[in-house]
Amino acid sequence: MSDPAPAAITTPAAAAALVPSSAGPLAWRRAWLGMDRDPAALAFAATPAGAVALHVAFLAALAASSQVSAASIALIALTLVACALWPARRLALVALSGLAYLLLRPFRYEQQRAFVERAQEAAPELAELPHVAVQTPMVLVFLMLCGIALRLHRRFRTRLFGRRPVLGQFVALGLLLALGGVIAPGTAAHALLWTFIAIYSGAFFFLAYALADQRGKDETPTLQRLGFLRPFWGGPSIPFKGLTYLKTFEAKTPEALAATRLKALKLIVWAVMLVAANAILSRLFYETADFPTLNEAVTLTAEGRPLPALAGWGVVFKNFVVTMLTVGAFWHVMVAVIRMAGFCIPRNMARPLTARTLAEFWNRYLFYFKEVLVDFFFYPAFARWFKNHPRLRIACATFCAACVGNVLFSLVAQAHLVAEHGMVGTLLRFESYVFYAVVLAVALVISQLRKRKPRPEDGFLRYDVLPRIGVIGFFALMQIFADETGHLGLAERLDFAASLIGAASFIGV
Amino acid sequence: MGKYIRGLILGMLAERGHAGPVGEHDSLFFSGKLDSLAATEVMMALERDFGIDLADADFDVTQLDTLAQIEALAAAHV
Repeated sequence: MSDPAPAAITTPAAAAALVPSSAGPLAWRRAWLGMDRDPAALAFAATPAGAVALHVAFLAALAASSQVSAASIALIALTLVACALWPARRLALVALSGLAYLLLRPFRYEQQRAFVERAQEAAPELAELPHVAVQTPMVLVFLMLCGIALRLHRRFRTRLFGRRPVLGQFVALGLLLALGGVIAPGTAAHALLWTFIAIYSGAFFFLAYALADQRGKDETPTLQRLGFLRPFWGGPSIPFKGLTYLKTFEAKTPEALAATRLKALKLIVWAVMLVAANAILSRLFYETADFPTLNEAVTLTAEGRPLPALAGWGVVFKNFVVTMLTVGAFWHVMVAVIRMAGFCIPRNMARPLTARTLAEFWNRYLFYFKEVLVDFFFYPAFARWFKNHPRLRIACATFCAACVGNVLFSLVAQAHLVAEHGMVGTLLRFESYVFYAVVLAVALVISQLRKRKPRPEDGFLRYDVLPRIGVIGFFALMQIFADETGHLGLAERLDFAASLIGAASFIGV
Repeated sequence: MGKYIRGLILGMLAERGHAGPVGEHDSLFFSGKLDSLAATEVMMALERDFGIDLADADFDVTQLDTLAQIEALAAAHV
C-alpha cells in the first residue's frame, strides 16, 4: 500500500484507503493494533471527521459492551462530546460531569440505594417525599463538608489531620457509624445519617486521593477537586488514583489526543470481544455442560452433596476464567472511557496470565486497586515501621496493604451493612474475605521476599510454564474465599476446598 | 549522584524486561514500568544514601515518578 500523505486523510473515505492491502487476518490484526502509531491513522483521527467517526464507533462499542446503563452512556456521550469541542477546558468539563453524576446517582451499589430508600420509607417524616428530595440535599452537604475538609487540610498540613488525612477519614467514618448505631431506626435522623454514610463510603478513597494530591505543589481549585469525588465514568469505589495522576496522562497536543482516542477505541473493542467470549463460555459452562456456579458448588458441599473432585476443580477453573473475563471487560471499558476523554492512563488489567510471581499477578490483575492499597497502607507503613530491618519492613508493609487495607477497603465500600447487621454481624459476613486477605498477604510477602525468581536460563518449563501454572492455580483457589456477599461462611468454603482434594468434611456434614 | 540513580533505575527496569532508553521525564511508576517493590528499593536507597526521611510530612511518593524528580529530591538532601 502506498502511504498517502497524512494531510490528505481528512475523510472517512480517505481513511478507508488505510486498510492493509493484504487482506489476511494477521495483516488486519497488525494494522489494528498498530493504528495508534500509524501516521496516516493519526492524521485522520486528528481531523474533525476522524474525531466524529471515532466517537461514533466508540459509543457504539460502549453500548455493545453492556457494561454501563443507558443513562450512564448518555452522560458519558455528553461529556466526551464536550471534551472534544472544548479540549482546553477538559478538566473543568470532566469535573462538572462528575458533580452531575454524583447528584444523579449518589450511591455506588444498587444494594446501597435500596437500603437508603428503605430507611427513608421507614421514617414517617420523609416517607412521602420523593427519594431525590432527600438524597440531593445530602449530596450537597457531603460536597460542602468535603470542600471544607480540603481547605482545612491545605491550611493545616503540619497538624495531625494534615499529616494523616486518611486516618482522619477513618476516624470520621467510625464516629458516623457509632452515631448511626445509637439513633433509633425509623426516624428522619437515622435515614439522613445513613444516606450520608452511604454517599461518603462510596467516595471514601476518591476523597483520600484528593487530600493526598494536596501534598504536592498542585494548586487545583477545591471546586474542581470535588468534581473528581465521583467521576463521570462511574464504576465501583476503586479510584483511578487522583487528579494529579490523571493530569500526568492528559493529551497535550492534537497528535497525542488522536493517539489516545485510537488507544481508547482499541481497548473498548477488546472489551467487547471479552464480553462476547464470556457470553459464549458462560453458555457453554452453565447451559450446555450444566456446571454449577462456584457459590452453588459450595452450597452443594455444605448440604452434604459435594461434587466429584474433578468436577469441583472444573468449577474452580471455570470460575477463574469467567471472573477474569468479567473483570477484564468491565475495567477495560472504564479505562477506555477515560482515554477517550483525553487521558491516556495505563490499563487496570494488563496480561495477568503472563505473571510468573504472585506479586506480579497482583500488580497486573487490578492495578488501580493495588495502587489504592499501596498508596494508603503500604507506603505509610513502609515509611514508619521497622526501618532498620529491610525484610521485616517490606513484610509488614505488604501485610498492611494486602490484608488490613484490603479488608478495610471492602468494609468501607459496604459500610451501610453496619446499619442492618451491626458491627459484629458485618465483620462475620466478611470472615471468608478476611481469611482470603490473610492468605493473600502471607503469599505476597513470601513472593516479594523470595530471592530466587524464575529466570530465562531455567528453561521453558521452569520459566514459562510452571511459575504461571502456580500463580493461576493459587489465584483460582483463592477465589473460593474472596467472597464479600456473606453467602455461606468460611467453614463451608473450607469444606468445599477440602472436597477438591478428597479430604474429610471440615464441618462434618 | 545522577549517574548512580540512573544506574539504579536502569538496573531495575532491565530486571523487569524493559531494555529501551528512559528519558529524564518518563513516568516510571505511574506508567507501570516499575512496580511498588521497585519503589521501595528506590526509597530505601534514598534513605540510605541521601538521608531522606520518608516519614516527613512533606515527603510525597508522587515525587518519585521520573528520573528527574528522583534526582531533584536527592539533590535537595545532599
